[in-house]
Amino acid sequence: MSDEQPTRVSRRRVLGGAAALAGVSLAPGLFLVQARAAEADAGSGVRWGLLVDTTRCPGDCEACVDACQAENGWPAGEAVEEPQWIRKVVVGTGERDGAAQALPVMCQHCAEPPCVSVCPTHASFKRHDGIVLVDKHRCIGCRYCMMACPFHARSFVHAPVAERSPNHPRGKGTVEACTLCVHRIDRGEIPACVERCAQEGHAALIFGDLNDPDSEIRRALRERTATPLRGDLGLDPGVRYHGLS
Amino acid sequence: MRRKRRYAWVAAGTAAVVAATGLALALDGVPGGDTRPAAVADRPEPRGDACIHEDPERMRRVHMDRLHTHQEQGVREGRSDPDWDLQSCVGCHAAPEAQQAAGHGSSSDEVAFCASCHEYAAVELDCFQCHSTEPEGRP
Ligand code: SF4
Ligand code: SF4
Repeated sequence: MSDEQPTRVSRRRVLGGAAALAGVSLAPGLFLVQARAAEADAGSGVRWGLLVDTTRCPGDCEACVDACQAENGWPAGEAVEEPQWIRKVVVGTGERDGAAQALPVMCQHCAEPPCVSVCPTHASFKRHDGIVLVDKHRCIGCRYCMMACPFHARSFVHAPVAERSPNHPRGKGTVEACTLCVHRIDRGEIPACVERCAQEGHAALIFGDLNDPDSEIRRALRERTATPLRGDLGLDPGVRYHGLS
Repeated sequence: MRRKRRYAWVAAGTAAVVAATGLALALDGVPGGDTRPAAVADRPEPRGDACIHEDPERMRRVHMDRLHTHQEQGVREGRSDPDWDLQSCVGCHAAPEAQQAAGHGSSSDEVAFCASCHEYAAVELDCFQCHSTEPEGRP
């Protein structure tokens, strides 16, 4: 934080700064500029993910949804224009294919996120640790990303927000979705839904680093078969589901 | 064509002088009046003894750049520094309820500290359309 970055940096200043930083001069006027070390960014080499064990998720339980609302401060409501960061979706009718299953669906934190590809302002972006976010400072509310997401994971804030949560700034005219509780992850905690699910005694949600072979989620993935939703789309979601028939 | 361009330059120059004067008055006080800066005179006092970052004079001029730098690092790179996020500013500068009730300057809201200067200098304060103004907000 020691450097003062003006809000808009002219090209000349960027080039001047780059030249000042350069350690090696390759030729007069040609510098080898060292990019900032990658490990300075959040979780290089880490990919956060979730495993949803649908066999442990009771149809009538909404604890994860409640926990998310309380944590991130989005209002409850059934109307289509109300935000839904996470919802319980019922699949199957119970007639043909055994019991109906209810599973929580939130942003799947795709490795190949279409919401990022379509965003005209780079507001929709993927962090180095795989978390897909909306940078509301840049979002212009065009809602392309909502169209692009095959999971209906994103919501639009239609009205001014009266109760603003310190955990997650929300504002009219921007798009939002599950952040995997990025504010908690950056503090070394687990997402609110995972915590609440365990407190309720279901432990249907397992969180962890998909790139770490010794993590709890990788151990669970070795023991239980898990599939992504709409695997045919090839988006490589970070959220996987076990027990979907 | 050339004359039009000259008028545009004159207009832009005048606007710049007016804006600079306004800012100077807001920050440095009305000549001959109260020695304290005009926009600072009637403003809730922050909690604590001093800004944890830099001397207030300087923070008054650079806070927007500092916040912008932290915003990029915090949001996009996940390198959030709790001392530098907006919530830490709010922690000291949001007016406690008693002060809000007393009213300060033209604004009696939670962020009257920010608003007093911003209103004077006519610089829109957008942060708190989304960000919380809850001083005890940090979990
Ligand atoms: S689930 Fe939707 S919002 Fe989330 S990363 Fe994938 S496409 Fe984007
Ligand atoms: S609504 Fe916002 S995040 Fe989504 S595509 Fe448009 S600018 Fe990007």
